Amino acid sequence: MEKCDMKCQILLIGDSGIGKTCMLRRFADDEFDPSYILTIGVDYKARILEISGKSVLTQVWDTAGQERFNTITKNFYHRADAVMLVYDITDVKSFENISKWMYNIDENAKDNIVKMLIGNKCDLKDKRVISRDRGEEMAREYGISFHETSAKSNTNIDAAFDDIIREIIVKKTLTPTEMHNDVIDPTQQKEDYVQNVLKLCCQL
Amino acid sequence: MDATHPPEPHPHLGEFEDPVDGYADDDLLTPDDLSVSVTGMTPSRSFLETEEFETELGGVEEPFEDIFNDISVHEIIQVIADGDRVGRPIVVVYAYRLPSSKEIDHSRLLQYLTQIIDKIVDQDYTIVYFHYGLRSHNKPPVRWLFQAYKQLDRRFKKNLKALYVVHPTRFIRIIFSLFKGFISSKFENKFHYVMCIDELENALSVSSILSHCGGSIPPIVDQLIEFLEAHALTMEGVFRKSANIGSIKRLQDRINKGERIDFENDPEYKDNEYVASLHASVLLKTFFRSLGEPLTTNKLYPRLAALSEVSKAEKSAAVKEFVKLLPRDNYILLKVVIKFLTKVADNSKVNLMTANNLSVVFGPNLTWPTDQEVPISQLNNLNNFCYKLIVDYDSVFDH
Repeated sequence: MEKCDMKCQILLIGDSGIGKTCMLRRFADDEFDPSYILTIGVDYKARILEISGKSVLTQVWDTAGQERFNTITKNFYHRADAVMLVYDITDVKSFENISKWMYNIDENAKDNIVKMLIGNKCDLKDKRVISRDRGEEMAREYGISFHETSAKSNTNIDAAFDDIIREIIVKKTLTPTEMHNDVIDPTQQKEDYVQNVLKLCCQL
Repeated sequence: MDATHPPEPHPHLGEFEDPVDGYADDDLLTPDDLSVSVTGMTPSRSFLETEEFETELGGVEEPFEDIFNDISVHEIIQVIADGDRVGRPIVVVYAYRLPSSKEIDHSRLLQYLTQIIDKIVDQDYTIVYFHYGLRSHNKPPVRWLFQAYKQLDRRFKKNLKALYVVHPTRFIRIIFSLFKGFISSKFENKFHYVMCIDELENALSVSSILSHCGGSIPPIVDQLIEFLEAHALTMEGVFRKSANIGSIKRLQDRINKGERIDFENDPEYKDNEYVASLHASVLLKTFFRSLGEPLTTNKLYPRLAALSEVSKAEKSAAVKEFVKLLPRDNYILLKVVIKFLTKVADNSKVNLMTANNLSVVFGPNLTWPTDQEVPISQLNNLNNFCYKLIVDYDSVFDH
């Protein structure tokens, strides 16, 4: 395998049956398999992406949405650099339960974990019950980014992963230790941070 | 009252001196009780010591061959011989079965109680008291409770492992604080209030408590399966789909408080069969997941894990052997659930839940041990066990 500049781990979480596995397969193998198969525990696939001249080994962990697996999947939270919280735009409960998944993340994951809200199955326009606005509003409340995707029609899957990896790179480049080293003034620190982020964003 | 009395020996009894803090109407203390408890305070020790309860009762000395048909017919007290997880007997007392005070002779009830407990008192045992249904008309006098405590005190305390009071009201708390002065701290440690049935599940074998209504199937499982069989067999993704966590919590609370949910006519479910089916299916999974230990038991888990070593050809026979090892109640409950799952799988063309998919959902819910860490690699074995139960149902459960 070729050498990679960095590695990042992304966790897919959300209720059972909302298309997490299909998102993973679309992302990793560019396939869509409509068969009805439940994920057992956790599974992962990897893909190397070129992002702003860096090669990034992206491991995407797919978790089982079944409640019984919660205790198992929780063990994977703390390793992850980012989480995609997925709901199904045709399933109101999966949207309502995002708050529960969010709570799980706050309980188990690293503090600086990158989060992204995903409304999947956006090809099913006739069955939609969660409007794009509601999704955006929730993402705003949590202060995280948002995408609507469809693994079936291959809409926005790559864009979503691309965005989340860029966010990870920004966070990883600005590790807290670096920031604390020589900056004393907290306002200065904040400004530096903003500057750094801006610089990085331009680079990416 | 404080002023006229010497220093208050039991501060908690203070509750009694100021009964103005708004006892609810159904609180069961009557002025009579209060007068008993007041006279039974500082002077209470002497009250119990001077009056000769032994002679007054004459209970212990009386021959136990006495026939208690008039008492036993009410089925107030029930003994479950191999009640808790380690097979120690449980004495279950149902307050709601107490007849009106006018119809029952409380001193005979006490003798009857003594006689029952006497048979098991030489080994460790547990008492579970369901307080529900105690009303003023069937409430035994406080004084009688003192007598009962006093009489049972001597012989029965030592091996009592725990006393669970289920759904206590303020009345029972007050009574207990009244007793506090007399009982040892050792006994106090054995005393537990249970606000919610599921707390009891942690303490005791569920099926033995819940099955008191006859049979081995907890009523809620019976009810859920009956409903799901009639309404959810063709629902796509039944048991896979998650429900709103909050709704399920609320539902659990209602059921744990003793309410029976009518999934067909409940305001929440009327005209919404899909949500009713979804909630019922998630609830069934939740029930099995939240038992204190899996249906296949923690103890037998090593045997279950060993099934992964068995070759494909011998698997069905090995699964059958394993199932035979289960305690009777667990076996019967497992059989009922799996039978139902075979019916779900029969409809997999419509509901998409094949035996394999069902086993992914139910495997861990029925088998995941609660007393040890299990490597994730065991999941396949546990799912496979569940899969075999479903596809080989007829041969696995033929005895």
